[in-house]
Amino acid sequence: MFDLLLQAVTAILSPENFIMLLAGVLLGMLIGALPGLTATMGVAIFTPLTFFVPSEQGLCLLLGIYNAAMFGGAIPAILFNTPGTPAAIASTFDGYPMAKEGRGGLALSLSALGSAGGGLLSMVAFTLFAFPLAKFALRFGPTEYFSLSIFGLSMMIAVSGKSIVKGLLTGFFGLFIATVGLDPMHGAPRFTFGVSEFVGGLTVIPILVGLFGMGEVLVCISENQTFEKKVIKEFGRLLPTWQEIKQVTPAFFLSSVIGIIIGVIPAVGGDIASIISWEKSKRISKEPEKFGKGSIEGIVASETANNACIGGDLTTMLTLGIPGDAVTAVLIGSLMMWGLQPGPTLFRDHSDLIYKIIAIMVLANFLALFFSFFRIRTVAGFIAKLPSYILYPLIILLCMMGSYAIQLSMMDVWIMFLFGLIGFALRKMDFPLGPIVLGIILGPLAEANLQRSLILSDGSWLVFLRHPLSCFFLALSFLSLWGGFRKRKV
Amino acid sequence: MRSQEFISGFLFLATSLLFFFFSWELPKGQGNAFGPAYWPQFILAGWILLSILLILKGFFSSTKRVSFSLTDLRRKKLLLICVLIPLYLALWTFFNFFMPTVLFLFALMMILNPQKPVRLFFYSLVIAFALYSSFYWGMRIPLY
Repeated sequence: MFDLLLQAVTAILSPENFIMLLAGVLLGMLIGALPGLTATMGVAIFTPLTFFVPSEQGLCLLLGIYNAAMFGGAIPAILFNTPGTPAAIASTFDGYPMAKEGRGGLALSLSALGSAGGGLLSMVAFTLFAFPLAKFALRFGPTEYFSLSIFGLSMMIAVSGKSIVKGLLTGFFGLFIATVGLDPMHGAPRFTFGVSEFVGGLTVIPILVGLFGMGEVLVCISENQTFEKKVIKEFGRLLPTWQEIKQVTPAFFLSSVIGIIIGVIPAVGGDIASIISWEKSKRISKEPEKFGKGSIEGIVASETANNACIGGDLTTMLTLGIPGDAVTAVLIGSLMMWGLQPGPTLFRDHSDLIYKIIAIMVLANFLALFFSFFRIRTVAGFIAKLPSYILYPLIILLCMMGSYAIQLSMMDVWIMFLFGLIGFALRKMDFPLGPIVLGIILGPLAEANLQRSLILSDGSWLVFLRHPLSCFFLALSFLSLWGGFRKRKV
Repeated sequence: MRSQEFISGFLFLATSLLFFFFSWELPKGQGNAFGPAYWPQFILAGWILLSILLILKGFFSSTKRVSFSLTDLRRKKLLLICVLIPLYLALWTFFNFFMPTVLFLFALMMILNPQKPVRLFFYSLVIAFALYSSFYWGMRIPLY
């Protein structure tokens, strides 16, 4: 295993791959640091541009963005009290009070160390658990896959936000979008209306670019969001003392474990992990009264957990083909674009790629840590000066050019624009977008395996209860639905 | 009554009913295998039920809340941008990438910050050229 890992690291350190990784990390930090722009948006916008490069280079760029956006999100959370990404919300609780006390430098360095540590530990967990899990998942047949996709779809409730009905509605909308094109078993065209471009189905990436890229920019414009902020310039010292490192160690390990476990659960992401870790770290702290007022344990807990989530998210995505969160849903689309199907067969047929993903994530953590320590002032200054009237048109243009680049088709650009408008309207009316992605990704998997299972069982629906694993996933789905309905308002 | 949920529920209901109507043209299954119509009809039925639930929820909700409120200026800016994009896409189709992109970027920047037009035109030119070069020469993606 170590030989394969070493080979993967060597491959990623080749000039072409390393430049892409460097670009990804820098872009990710910038995207994460700009309030309103999310990792999902960054990965969605840049995915089409990676279509013309080898998958390794594409992964370097996209995983670099994904990982570094988590680092970047803490910068405005600490310096402006505005989280750069949803996963950095809990970092404002202690980060901003620390910055106001003139300890912004320490908050930034601890957040970077926590993020890197959490990210690295989660990749250790990924390396240890993903391969056995994938080996186990190779035994899955169509019944297990159908039940597993139902379990994934049941997570629509978890990402529904304030209203379950709205979440389910957008989820069903996503499932419907996935039915456009040829039927997976019979090859009959569905809802194509004679348009030849629709026969192969609606291309996933332009839809995601529209929903998360164009839609987000329109929301930012409608809310008059600008990035020109007043930065706290008194950073204070950057490096923590040995005493401070000892103080934050328990919170770091606890948050890493919480982050990894929450990451494994489909559709639950860094935002929830960081808040839970912050709360749990407060409970085990010797100074719980300092939480929310500038506690160094609080900032470490939040930032460690949101990066530790990445390893868990990748485990679910790569071993089972189920998106761990919105970003991994977009990444599934990217892998499919390169002809790679996430799931246990990926570990069997492309194990070298899995090791390269591990190497990319480890190197991305070190690069992001390096930039966090040595370029924090530059990034903070850049955010404060960046004019939104240049950035927004640039993002709109990148959304269009990226959508066009996938198939050199103007139809994809129109689809992206349409979904941009839909994404904007849904966001404005408080509809969550996460369930749409789950529907688009898991819908075809559920339909194809349902049809296969019923053909194999001569049309008996009891087949899903006869297989123990299928039964287990259905029970999990029921529990997740029941729990969701019990805890939240409809 | 919460008008926002009421209206969005009706929009979802209308869309789902329309596609449910179209789904009847799809072939039905034979024997144990279900046909191409089964899965979409199942989804659309769920969609219809949820839309009705949202309408009822909006109807019986006591709070009045409309979050879709924009000031006149922001609404005008958004509308202009939404009109400009299809116009730009049409121009791109007929006059290739470069010149329509420069004009599009300039127009967007002027909408968002109507100051210093010469400087904004220069920015538009530089950005369009940089993107064109990186796509055409860097990634070998032809931008027609």
